Amino acid sequence: MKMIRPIMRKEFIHILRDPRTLGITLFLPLFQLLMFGYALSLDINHIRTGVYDRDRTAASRRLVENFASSGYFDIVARPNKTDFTQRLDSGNIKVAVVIPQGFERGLKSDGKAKVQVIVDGSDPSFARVGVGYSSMIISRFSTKAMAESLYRNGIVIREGMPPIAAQARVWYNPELRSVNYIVPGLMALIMMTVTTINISVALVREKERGTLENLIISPIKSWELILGKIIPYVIIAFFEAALITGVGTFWFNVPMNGSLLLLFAGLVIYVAGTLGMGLVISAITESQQVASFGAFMSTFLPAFLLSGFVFPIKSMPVALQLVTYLVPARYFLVVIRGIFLKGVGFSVLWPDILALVVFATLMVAIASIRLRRTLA
Amino acid sequence: MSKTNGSYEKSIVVDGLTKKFVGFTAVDGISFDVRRGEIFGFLGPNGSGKSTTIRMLCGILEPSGGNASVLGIDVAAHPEEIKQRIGYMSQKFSLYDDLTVIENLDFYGGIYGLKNDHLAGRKDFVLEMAGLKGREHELAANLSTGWKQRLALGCAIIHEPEMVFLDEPTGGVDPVSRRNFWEMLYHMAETGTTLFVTTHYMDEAEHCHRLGFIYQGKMIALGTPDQLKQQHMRGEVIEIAIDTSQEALRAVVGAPGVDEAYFYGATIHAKVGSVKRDMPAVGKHLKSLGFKGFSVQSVQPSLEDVFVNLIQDTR
Repeated sequence: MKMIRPIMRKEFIHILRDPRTLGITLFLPLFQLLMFGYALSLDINHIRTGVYDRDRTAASRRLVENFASSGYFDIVARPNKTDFTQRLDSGNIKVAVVIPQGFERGLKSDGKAKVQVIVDGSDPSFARVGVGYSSMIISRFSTKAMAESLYRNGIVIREGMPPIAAQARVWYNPELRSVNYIVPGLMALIMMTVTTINISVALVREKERGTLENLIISPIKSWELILGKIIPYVIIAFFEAALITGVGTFWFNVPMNGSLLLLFAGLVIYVAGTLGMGLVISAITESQQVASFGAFMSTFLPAFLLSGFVFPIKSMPVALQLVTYLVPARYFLVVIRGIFLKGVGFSVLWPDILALVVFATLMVAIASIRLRRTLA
Repeated sequence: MSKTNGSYEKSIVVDGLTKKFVGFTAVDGISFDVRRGEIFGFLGPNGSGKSTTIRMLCGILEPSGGNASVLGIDVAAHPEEIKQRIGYMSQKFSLYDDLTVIENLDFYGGIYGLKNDHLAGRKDFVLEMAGLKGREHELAANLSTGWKQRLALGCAIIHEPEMVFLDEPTGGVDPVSRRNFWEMLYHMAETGTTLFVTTHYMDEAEHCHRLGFIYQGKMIALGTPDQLKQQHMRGEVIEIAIDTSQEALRAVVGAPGVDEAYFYGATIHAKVGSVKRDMPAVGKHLKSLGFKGFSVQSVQPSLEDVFVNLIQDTR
């Protein structure tokens, strides 16, 4: 046991003197956090909108006003007929609202007023949201107009128009802020890539330099060597987890509704698995470059694409859905989002925690078998 | 520690040691011993079983057969006990480039369990011995190869091992540094440390007290350098100072009385039955083929001659 300390001390010196490790360990996570936190916002609002109002009446102005005050649309231009197609082409505006002549007249007389909304479909998710929001605004406007028209004809409508009002409530993330969804997911992504890359490189480096030979011949036991090498990275991993939690909750205002203790326990299991994976990679590779590339490819891509981090697993093809069961980040994501956003506990999260335990056990077992071959 | 320093007579006793891997036998029943305070040279071409033997003696590879004990400890039964009491230095020097001289020593001292005053005393001794005083805080990466070699030796002996294995410790090092290095080894041997050295350099082999020559997994010669020259050299050697071309070599091989011939530095060596009888004939033969400006003389066989001869005999 006493042999672990010199190894740990040496490993810390390596980390502090190697700009690459230091960068991967400290700055990459922070960079990712800020990048994803700001850039990967899935919330769509302030859509650049052009209005071509050919009616120029009080009613048409009121409709435009409804668009502008919704918060979803920014009226940035008032193009004329030829201008608005050009603006859509160039991407200057994403949505064009065209109000034809006779809009107010139609509204008041025969109720056959028409509004044209043109949405840039080159970005489908954007377009879907644009169509949704504009239909909502127009139908609300039209309901109100109908009520006024009935009123003018002597029919008074009290509350209760329309007859059915949907009372939709969003739980866990009432404002639907995507950052609440992204930041906990990032924890899964970052912890996995950083620990796996670091530990695999740390061991392969000894192989490459030939120092492993001396360690094998020394009285140090292989489990002491491995523990001594792993512990510094575990300490760093938890420092990172704290950093992500801190920046997430204080800077991005992500709610932390669950138990910190459960979060910590989940992390321990998850990191045990990712470190095991790093050790397996270090056992089967001979150069630092291959090791770090292998570690990156086997962690970042699956954790990014197949974990449900951004792309919902349920909307993947079935074959791909099956593959996601092999991605540990998938389970950790459920755990960590459950803890952060839903505030649920072990009674709900145990199936995913169990899956993480299985993954960790498997990885540590494979690693110890492979390493016994390398280290003896 | 169950064995005290005085409980063994010979540092290494090997008897019929064998290591089989799937499909081939790397070490095939070798036997030899190494006395205390001896510098034992272990020679042989690459792939002859040198490293496998060292790995077994260091307790990290289990023998398939035979017996071996190091410092009186059986390698198969108590490998862990051996590890604490031997030192190992490899050709790669096994230093951490991003650690300073003193940090490297601290680390190797640490993994052998050295502490506080003891460690400080040993570091002082090693720095003095290796002449690294005043360079304690230089990064190992910035040391020249010769200095790295000394530091590597220092790291290998920081825990005062009774026996040190050196696997081609002078590879890639300049002649002056090699000489200094060997002086350090002599000094260590004089103070009672046993040294087990592998090398490719035949001039270094001459420095060893005794030599073992392994070839294709078998120990084909064993003894002091002088013994080897006497016992394993049938015939005598003449040296031909001539342009070392393939053409010249072919001519020498074709000369009457020449058993074999090979390049030796800037000359060609030829093994003949008798210098007296064959040397003039070789000269005549070369002249008849039109070679000019060469000289032929009789030389004492060197270890290199012995080993060329040995390998040719084994084939």
